Amino acid sequence: MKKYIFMILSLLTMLFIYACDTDKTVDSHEEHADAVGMRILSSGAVLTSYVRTDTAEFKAIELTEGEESPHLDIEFYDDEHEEWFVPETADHYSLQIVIADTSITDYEQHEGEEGSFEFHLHGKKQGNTSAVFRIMHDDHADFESRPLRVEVVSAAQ
Amino acid sequence: LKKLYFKTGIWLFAWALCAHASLTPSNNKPINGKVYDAVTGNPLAWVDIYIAELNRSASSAKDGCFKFADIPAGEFTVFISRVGYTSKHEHLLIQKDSSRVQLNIGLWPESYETETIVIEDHRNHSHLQEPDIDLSGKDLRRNLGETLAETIKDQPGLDQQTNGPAPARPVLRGLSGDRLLLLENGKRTGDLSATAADHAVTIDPLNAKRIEVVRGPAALAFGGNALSGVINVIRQPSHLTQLDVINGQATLSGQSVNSAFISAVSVEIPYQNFQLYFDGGYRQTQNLHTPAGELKNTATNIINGSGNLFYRYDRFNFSVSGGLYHSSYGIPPSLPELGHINGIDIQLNKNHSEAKVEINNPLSFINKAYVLYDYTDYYHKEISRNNFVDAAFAVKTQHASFKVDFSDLKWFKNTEAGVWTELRAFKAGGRTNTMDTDEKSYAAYAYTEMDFRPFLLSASVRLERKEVIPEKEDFDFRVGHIRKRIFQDWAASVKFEYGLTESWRVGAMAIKAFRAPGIEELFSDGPHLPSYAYEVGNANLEQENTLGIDLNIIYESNALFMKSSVYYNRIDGYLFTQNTGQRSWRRYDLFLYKMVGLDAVIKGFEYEIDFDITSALSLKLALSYLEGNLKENWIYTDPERQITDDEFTPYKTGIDEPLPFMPPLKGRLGLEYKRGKFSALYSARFAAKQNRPGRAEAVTAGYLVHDLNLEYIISSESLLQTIALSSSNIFNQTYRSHLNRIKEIFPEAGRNFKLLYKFYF
Repeated sequence: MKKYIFMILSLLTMLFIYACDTDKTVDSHEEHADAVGMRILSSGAVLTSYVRTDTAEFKAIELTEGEESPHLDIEFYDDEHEEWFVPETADHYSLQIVIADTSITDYEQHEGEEGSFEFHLHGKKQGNTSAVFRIMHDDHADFESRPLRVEVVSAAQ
Repeated sequence: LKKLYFKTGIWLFAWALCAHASLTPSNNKPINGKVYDAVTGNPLAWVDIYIAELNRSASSAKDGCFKFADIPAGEFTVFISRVGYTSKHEHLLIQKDSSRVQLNIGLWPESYETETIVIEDHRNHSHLQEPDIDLSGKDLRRNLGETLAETIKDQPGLDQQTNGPAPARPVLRGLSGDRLLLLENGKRTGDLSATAADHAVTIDPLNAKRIEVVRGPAALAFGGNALSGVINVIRQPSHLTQLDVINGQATLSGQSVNSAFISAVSVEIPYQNFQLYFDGGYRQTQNLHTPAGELKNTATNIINGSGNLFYRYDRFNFSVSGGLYHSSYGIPPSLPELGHINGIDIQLNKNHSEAKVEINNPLSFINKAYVLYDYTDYYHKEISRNNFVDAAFAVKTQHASFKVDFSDLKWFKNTEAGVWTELRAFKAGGRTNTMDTDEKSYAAYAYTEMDFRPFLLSASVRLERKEVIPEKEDFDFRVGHIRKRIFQDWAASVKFEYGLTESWRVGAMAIKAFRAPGIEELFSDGPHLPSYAYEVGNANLEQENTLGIDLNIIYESNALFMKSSVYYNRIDGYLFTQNTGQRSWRRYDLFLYKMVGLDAVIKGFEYEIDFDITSALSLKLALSYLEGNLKENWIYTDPERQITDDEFTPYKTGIDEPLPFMPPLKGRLGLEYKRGKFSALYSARFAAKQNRPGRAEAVTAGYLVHDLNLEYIISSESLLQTIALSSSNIFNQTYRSHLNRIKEIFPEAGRNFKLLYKFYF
């Protein structure tokens, strides 16, 4: 009798072990935007840029109080291919701008262009603040830039 | 299919062993007995009866009766002990032709009760295998914390590395991670707590019966990388104790500092040759309060449980176990300019199952042999804002081992040898780019002791091979050449002890250990928000090699125990994640951490004293100090790119550069008062200023905080109850631990009141 009990227990053990072998899915690795620098352009002219630790051309952006900046484009530097690129919004990439003090400056994207890599900045009041630019991939940041200094000067200056 | 073959193979092997041993008939006998009060003649329950040579024990029931089944012929020493009675031992001779053995034992009451001892399993080790730290009974209740690390952090040489209240990992003599193995019931946990500061240890101390810290030769049985030692949490019974009645324990607790509610229960049910054990625990806490305010996103929810069915048949013991650990906890928000200002939520699940077959005396020169298979399925995900899964990790671990305990031979005692294999399948998802990788480890080890009293010696050796196999070969300019890596080497340790006089003894221990880099250390690449880091592995890492030595002197008399230890560990290629002090190019909000292997030395001392000033009053002091120094370091000109030997080599600093996350001088001074069933312990915890911070670390100020613990025991024939009221950081002082990853953001917990009620039945 004891032998039978033992055999049943052993079988149950094996079943228990195999039953525990469930597969918990882990999302496979997606492609991510691999950027190590950024530049902001206005009508094709580079206003400010940096790549990796090279910040020689990473200049502050100057705005006038009460005025809107011209149309600005942002591009990023691909580390692997060593070239500038604009992430595809069709691939779930979007732009997010975080401004430290939105009472000094704020950004705007025209209707239908939300999340795209084009924007305007508004000089709201005199002062200095900073802006950080993110490449959002769905709901997470693949890239976060160095803080860019934004200076708003009075119209009289 | 391979896994199926593997599992089936293990079982066939176990069955073959059983079949072999069952061919030999058993001559074992039962022992029945009764224990009574020698003055009144009344039967005594709760008496612990222990047969030393067989390492088996039983406890007496309400009627004072106990029994042992299957005791072989031979000469034995039986130890009998109970709270309030003078312990004694009896010599017992069982002859081959004895049909049945009856033992009647009278115990003499002591004049007063000194300390209530909860009957627990006997430890299965000799004097040389004695744990360096052994926490059980009252000491365990007093120190019981939210995590394993918090529970043992005030023991000599120990500290905890934290990243919020939930993820905490013990640090022993400055070493943590894979160098300090964490075991539950002698088995590895199968979690990822060794790989990152935000990954929780999946052992809840709530149902622990005993916590042991073992160093030296005995530790190498568990891994060639156990340089610092092993911490073993004994939760399930070892079945050395043969029960006659149902017993168990239950715990209810609450505390103010995080509005915690804690409950646990464990029960052992004997039925003929079966013993069923199960336990469960539930822990719910809210945000932690500190003198600087509430530490947001630190609530915790943990449910865990385990079960074990044991069956004794002739010379065989069969055991099957299962367990689960489900937890959700938060990582506090970072500083505004770093990583995650809302905190990260982590959900963790672990399921575990195990089967073990043990055979007593299968051959004349083998006392015991066993084969063990266990399987652990671990998964955790890290969730940032808007329920986005930032990172997910899954690890499936299979482990099989075969161990033999040999009979004593002349000077050689407690000799054991075994083989061990482990397969780990690692998968990572989310934003982390660590490649899915398998890890295969194989090991063989042997341990023995030699007794030339007053000179005692123990030694062990372990051969180990580890293969790290990524799913594909690749080249990543950050991580390097991702490919299959093989590490193999030997580890050994020797320990001796010499009794100078009856009270004084000296000891020494030497160890050669090695540690192969883990999957994450080799191949990780990506932001890891809960660690506030952008982590980059190094596919070219080599193994870490260590030579360590430990010297100690011990004085032990009835009223005084003193122990002093000094140690020195030289670690070639010490593997750790180094904060480069530079921001990641991809995520400027995160600092870049790189995996490096650099030569280092860790040296220190520990001092411990336990002095009974009077029969009721005793003084306790534990003091630890260490220094960890790098002997070389990198100058990071281009930290994002993998540096190869052709491009750059570490420079020799010439001076000692402090290692990061090294504890400062710290200690605990306690004054204990015991009278009858009441005990009180006042403790002052202190640490000196850590003015030797590692690279990119801040100096941490010293502190002195005060704790108080009061406990009262209520015992009856069938029930033992303990009620403990304690307060930690009584004066609500603001202090910071150097090993807390978020010490710059928040200090340690504020004043806490805790009530702990336990009953044993």
